[in-house]
Amino acid sequence: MKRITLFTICLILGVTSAQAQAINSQSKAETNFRNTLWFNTENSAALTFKPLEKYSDLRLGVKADEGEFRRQTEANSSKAVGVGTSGNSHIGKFNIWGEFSFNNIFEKDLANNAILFEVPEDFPYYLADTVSSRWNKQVYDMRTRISSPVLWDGFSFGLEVGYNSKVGAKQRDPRTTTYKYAVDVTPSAAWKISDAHMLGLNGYYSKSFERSEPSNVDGRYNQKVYLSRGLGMATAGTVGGNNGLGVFYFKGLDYGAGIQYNYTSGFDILAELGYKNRKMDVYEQPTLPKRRGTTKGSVIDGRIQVLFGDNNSDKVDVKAHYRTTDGYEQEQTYIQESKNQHWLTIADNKMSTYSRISLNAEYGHQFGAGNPDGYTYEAGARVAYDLEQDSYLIPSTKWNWSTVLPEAFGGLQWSKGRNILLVQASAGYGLNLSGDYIYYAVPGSVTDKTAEIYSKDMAFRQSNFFKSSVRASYTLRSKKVNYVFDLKATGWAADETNRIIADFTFGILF
Amino acid sequence: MKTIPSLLAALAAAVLAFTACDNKDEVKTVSAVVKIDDSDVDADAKAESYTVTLTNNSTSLSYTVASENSIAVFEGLVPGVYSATVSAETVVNGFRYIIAGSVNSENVIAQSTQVNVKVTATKASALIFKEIFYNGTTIKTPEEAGDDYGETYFRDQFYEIYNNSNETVYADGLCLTDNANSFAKYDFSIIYTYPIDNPEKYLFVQTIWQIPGDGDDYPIKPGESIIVAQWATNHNDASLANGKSIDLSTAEFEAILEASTLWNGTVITDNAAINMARPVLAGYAAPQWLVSVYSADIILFKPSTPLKNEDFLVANESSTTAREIAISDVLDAVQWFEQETDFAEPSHRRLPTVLDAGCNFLKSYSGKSIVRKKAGEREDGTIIYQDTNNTSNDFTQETPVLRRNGAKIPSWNTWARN
Repeated sequence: MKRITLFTICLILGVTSAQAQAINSQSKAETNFRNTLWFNTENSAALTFKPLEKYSDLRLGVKADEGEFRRQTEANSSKAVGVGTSGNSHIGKFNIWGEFSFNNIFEKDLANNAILFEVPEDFPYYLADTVSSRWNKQVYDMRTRISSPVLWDGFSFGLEVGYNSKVGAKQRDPRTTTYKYAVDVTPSAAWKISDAHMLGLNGYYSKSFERSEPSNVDGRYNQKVYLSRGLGMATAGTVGGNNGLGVFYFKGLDYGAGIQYNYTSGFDILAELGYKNRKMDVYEQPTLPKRRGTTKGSVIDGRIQVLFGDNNSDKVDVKAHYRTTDGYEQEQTYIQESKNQHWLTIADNKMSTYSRISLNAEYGHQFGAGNPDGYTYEAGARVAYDLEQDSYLIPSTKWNWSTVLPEAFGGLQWSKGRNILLVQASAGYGLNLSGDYIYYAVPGSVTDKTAEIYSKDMAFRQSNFFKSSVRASYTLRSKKVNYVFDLKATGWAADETNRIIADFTFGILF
Repeated sequence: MKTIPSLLAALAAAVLAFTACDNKDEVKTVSAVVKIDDSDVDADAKAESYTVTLTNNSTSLSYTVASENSIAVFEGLVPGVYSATVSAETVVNGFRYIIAGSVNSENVIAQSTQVNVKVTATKASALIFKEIFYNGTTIKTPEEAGDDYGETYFRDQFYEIYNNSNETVYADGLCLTDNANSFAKYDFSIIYTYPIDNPEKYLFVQTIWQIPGDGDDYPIKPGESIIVAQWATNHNDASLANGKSIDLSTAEFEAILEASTLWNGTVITDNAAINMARPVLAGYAAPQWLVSVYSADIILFKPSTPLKNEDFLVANESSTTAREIAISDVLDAVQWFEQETDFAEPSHRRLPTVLDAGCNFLKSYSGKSIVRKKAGEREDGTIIYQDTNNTSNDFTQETPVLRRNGAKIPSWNTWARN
């Protein structure tokens, strides 16, 4: 792991450090990504024709997250320190972009998740306990995108590879140590049909693995947990003792493909449509495997980016996301053959369904987009709409909510000599349009307790809220490098709960 | 710019197409037909209708219906593995019969899956467990002891057996046993089976303790009870539980063969209580009898055939040896687990439903006993206790007390009166 990390850092810093720097401010660094439309797709091949501007950065950051306005499986408080680096350059005729980051995260007051590094919203098969605990976590994240030289007078090929490693340790009985790895590979091809038209294709393959081992430090007390089955349905389980729960394995396999089309004629429009098929299997106890559920699903993503105006001063970005997930529960019977005891699956029942539609639209205008130090003002608006509709078969349970969040944002940048100050702010209001949790639970039963968790989650989803953010970013330029001090705070305020995330980053752009 | 609306329309069409996909994987619910075989129940004692409960083993969701003509139909089940229990009570000539039967782990994956349950009847016993203290005492908590473990004590187990009838019965020859070690491997990964015809008619045990007597030496009148102690001494003694437990020196019987000194120097004294015999020992020989404080059962029976301490059965899955006892000889039986989740798995239940359809759950060393609930009172003031062969319903949890609710001491227990 350390060798891979060091190699990646050296690669990123090595290939980019000798470059002449056009990116000399934080706003320009961000505009670089904004305006490189193909970078915001899953197609790396097209970066041969429309690459990012060369840059390198190195960042050190601290982050604090506090407040209860969140899902019940998330920590109410966390602090993180991290380091990261990224850069874009050429090696020979190949265009290469790379990124590495490491974060050390300390979470507090995390309940309702006793086993997973993180609980996706559409994943029902995990262990929950109701006692808050601390979690210590580490995340290593690496990603690189490579695009080939132009071949056959208009073609290029690309490859994106990502690898992340996550380690988590729950700090209170029942304790869990979890190790999670994921690798994804996205090969792509691009065809520049003419100066105006370009077409791209990509594939996608991802494999993940998480091994989670629950245990107790205090062996005198076995710990009660809930084996979640979805939307409040759960059965009781125990960590510890002769018959306690064993090691859990979560094995994920995703694959998919995407298509992109780019038209350029005074303006730049890029449309992308992608599809992914997803599967996650859960097993317990490798020596006597017992299946604990499977999710299967698909994701469709669509995005249209339009860049227009003088010096690409205007951008429209529309995204649509559709996700559907089915949860399958395996009915198993224990076969007690001599020396060959095993669990036999006799039925694989689709019990849960989750579906989500998310729509996002954003328009932004930069005044003075052609300035050498970056824009002078920016202003824009965006709106996000989310609709979730889930169900559980028996006992019949329904869960659905929808929310719309319109936001306005703006920014100012002052530049004087070596100093650049960027101030940004945004404000929005989240309006819940619908929300229902209809469930069956026997009073005093396990489902009664777990349904309470979902009831709180529904209260969170049904809340109307204000969202706002402020940011101040100062860049001090010198001959070889630019120093960036970046402070940002984002807050959510609902009737009874709130949340704030504050982060400070010190970075070097070179 | 005309391209944008076209692409949006295409995207929306694609999303709608996927949304509209037919759910070909949708679960098809199934039905189950539970057929009750009551051919082993005397014609007079048979019930007109039985309460039938079907429980999904993995979700613990239960469905209950009343049978008609010995058939119960369940509709709308998720395909899976189910357990079925059948129960009824009848009264014939003034005697109460408990009729019950169960099957574990039946695959119900097709329409109209037939599940056959054979039921048997047991005549409500005159002698029942009235109070059981099995789960030990905490002498010092970890905080009090200043370590991670504390100090616990398990030699104060006792079983109070009560005459719930209106006739005098005799304790002579009564046996107590448990089947914890002979039922399954400690983690339940192997459930032991034994080579015997009609194994469903037997329990398999390792150690049997028996009250001596010629048949009429130890009468128990209605409203009287006897105490069988693991060790009939005063456990509140400073050298033992030091005031945290109970004085068992008035118990009628103790499961001790003779005085002995344990490996740690504890002297097991032979007390005033009458020593029981140990006619069967198929497993490990301990100087006194200890039943698990975590997960076990207690079985009260009167053997209909002489007990043999040889030719033990050997489990098909291991070298575990055991003695068979007929279920029809059992007068009362009670099972317990520390965790409800252990009992939720039907294959872990040590006792057949006809003996105990329920279970007690107590944290080990909680210093609590389980106490049978009152069902009524006779004109002479003697109490009638509830006995439905379901300890989940029949017992509550209390601080242990000997001869609670005014249970009388048999006349032959002279040492309790001194």
